[in-house]
Amino acid sequence: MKGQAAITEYFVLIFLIAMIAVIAVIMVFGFQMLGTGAEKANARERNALFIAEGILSSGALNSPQFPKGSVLDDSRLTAASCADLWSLLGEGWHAEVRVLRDRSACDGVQAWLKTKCLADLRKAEGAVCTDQSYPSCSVWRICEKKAGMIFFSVPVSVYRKMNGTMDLGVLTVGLE
Amino acid sequence: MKFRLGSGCGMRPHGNPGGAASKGQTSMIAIAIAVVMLVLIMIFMLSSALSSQAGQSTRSEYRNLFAHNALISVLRTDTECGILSDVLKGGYFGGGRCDSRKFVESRIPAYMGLLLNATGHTDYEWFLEASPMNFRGEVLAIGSAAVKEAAERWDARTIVTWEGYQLEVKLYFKIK
Amino acid sequence: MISAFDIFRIVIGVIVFIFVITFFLRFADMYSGTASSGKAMEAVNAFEDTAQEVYASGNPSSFSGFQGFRTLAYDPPKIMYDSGQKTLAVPTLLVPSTGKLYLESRCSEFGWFSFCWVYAFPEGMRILFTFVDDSPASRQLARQALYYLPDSAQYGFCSSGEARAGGKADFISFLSGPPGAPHQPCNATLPQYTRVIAIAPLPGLPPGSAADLVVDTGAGLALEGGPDGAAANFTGPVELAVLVTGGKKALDYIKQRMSKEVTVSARIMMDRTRLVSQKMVALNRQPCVECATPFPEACGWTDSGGRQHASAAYEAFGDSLDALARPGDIWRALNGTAQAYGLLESEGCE
Repeated sequence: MKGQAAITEYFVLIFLIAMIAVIAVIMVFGFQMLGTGAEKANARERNALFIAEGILSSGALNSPQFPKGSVLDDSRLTAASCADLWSLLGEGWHAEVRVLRDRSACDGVQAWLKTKCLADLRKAEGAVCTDQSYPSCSVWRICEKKAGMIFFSVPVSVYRKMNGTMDLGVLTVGLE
Repeated sequence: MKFRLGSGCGMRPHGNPGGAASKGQTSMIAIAIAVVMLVLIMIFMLSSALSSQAGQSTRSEYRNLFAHNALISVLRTDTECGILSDVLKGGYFGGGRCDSRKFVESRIPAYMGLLLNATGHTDYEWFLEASPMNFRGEVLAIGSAAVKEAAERWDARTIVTWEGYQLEVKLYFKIK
Repeated sequence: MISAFDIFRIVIGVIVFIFVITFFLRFADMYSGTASSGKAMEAVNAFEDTAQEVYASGNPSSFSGFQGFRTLAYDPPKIMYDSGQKTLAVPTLLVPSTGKLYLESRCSEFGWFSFCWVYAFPEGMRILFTFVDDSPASRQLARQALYYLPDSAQYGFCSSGEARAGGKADFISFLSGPPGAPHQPCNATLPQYTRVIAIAPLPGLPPGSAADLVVDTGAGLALEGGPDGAAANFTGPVELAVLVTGGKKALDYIKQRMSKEVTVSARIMMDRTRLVSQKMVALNRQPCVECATPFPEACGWTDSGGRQHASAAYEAFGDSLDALARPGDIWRALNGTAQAYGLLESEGCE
């Protein structure tokens, strides 16, 4: 009886240790996968940033007066196609350039300039640029936006070719 | 057999070997669990350290790009009173269509607000400082001055030049 | 006496012990391997970031992250290192070294388009010329190539056993002087990271002479690896500069890369030129006048003669872009576009 009890206890003990070992293995590999996942996410972020920098310094899109100065020429943005830019900078990304104008930007302006300021804002807000809408537009979309993309946004200057002015904008790059 | 008075209802045989063995097995299980938990905690900490380091250089690069672009884009923007950097110059040397100092002090926060909203960085706090480098003049400070002294800040710098005069403009950021 | 159950317990204990030890050893080995290849990849990524920064800003920089690498090679555009390889996104001419590298960018400008690339040279890089044909034409060729070579390297000449090098400015001054006696093939003992460029009418040097590149003055032809080496054609100083620093493989890569960028940029520019000239007419805008400031709000309307002139200038520019698509000397075609674009700039249209 005593011997049987000892054997049973021993098997219970072995079973418990084996369970602990299995749980430990599962948790370790789980952490490993988490680490690999983090590495992958970081590589994706790095690539998205690379593409943003590539767009900002691209001779095809920059205004020649500021070849390396993050000034995107609005006429070049309108003329550029997704295929063109993917062949230069790699595939699988989407970009949007948006000119920022806000009504509060007219708040600090003297009264005699305010009407013109607000009128200009209304004219171009939110319109996507095509050959037809250009230059009365303020949003350029390059390549298709897809679900699950990660996004980076950076400030940028947009040179308005038709009236020779410089606007404040944001470049948003999305990567699959 | 010896009996102890007041030791409970049953008779306890003296020197029970089964009880000691039971204690030993319990201790062994406890030690095994403790060792495994310790190893798992160490692996977890190592994984976290590795993955947080991996993302840091990309984050730092992005922040530097953001700060640099925010500064130069804002200064290059055309306004109703002229290019903002020219209006800034007007604040020191006079001239221009508008009250330069007041205009700059209202327009820069408006543009920074637009940028931070449009890029999804409403958690960024900023501070801009313009200091004459080779001529006499007041330091222009806009934004939250505490950002300049913050430990985890990042910044961008540019020099605005005209006719030999140099104005250093710095833009600081920190997370709120 | 030891019982069967005791033996059983011992055996089970040993098996469990072996399992646990093997598992932890294997895990430790996995992590140490991962850690070291992770570090190498981080260093290569950091190099790419530095190259990208230099390419985008035009500002030179340095990089020392390849210390400790056991193997490092460059087959443009791929860097091959200990545990892998990486294709660089930015056009780079790298001379692999585990020491300090100096990075500089150079650009070939055409007004509407510029092609840039990054040099990554080790500390102590030297480029020595052997003027077997020391004529004004040879010196002119070298001077033109020097314009597109990096400032961080040292330049000089090697004749017979004598090799002297100094800064780029000093060498340019030397080249501006009168030709001297022809140089003898270089047979000096040279330090690491030295490239010898012999300038001679081909076949040029006696067989077996030491030279990394033998360049014919007039024919746009060079021999890589010496007088017995493979032939490489080059057009213009940019291609010669690339050949001098990186050899035929680097030249082929840069040519391919430039051709792609030119094609895409020209296509965008043609669409853009058509769009701008149409819109200018439609909106009654005539920016092709002398404007007082770089960013006029709008240049005023001029007479119809002015508008026609602007259209003609844009048309001429469009025709020059068309020429890029035709086979031939791409540099000549690019220079043609630069001239046409220059006309638009002088008219105030760009």
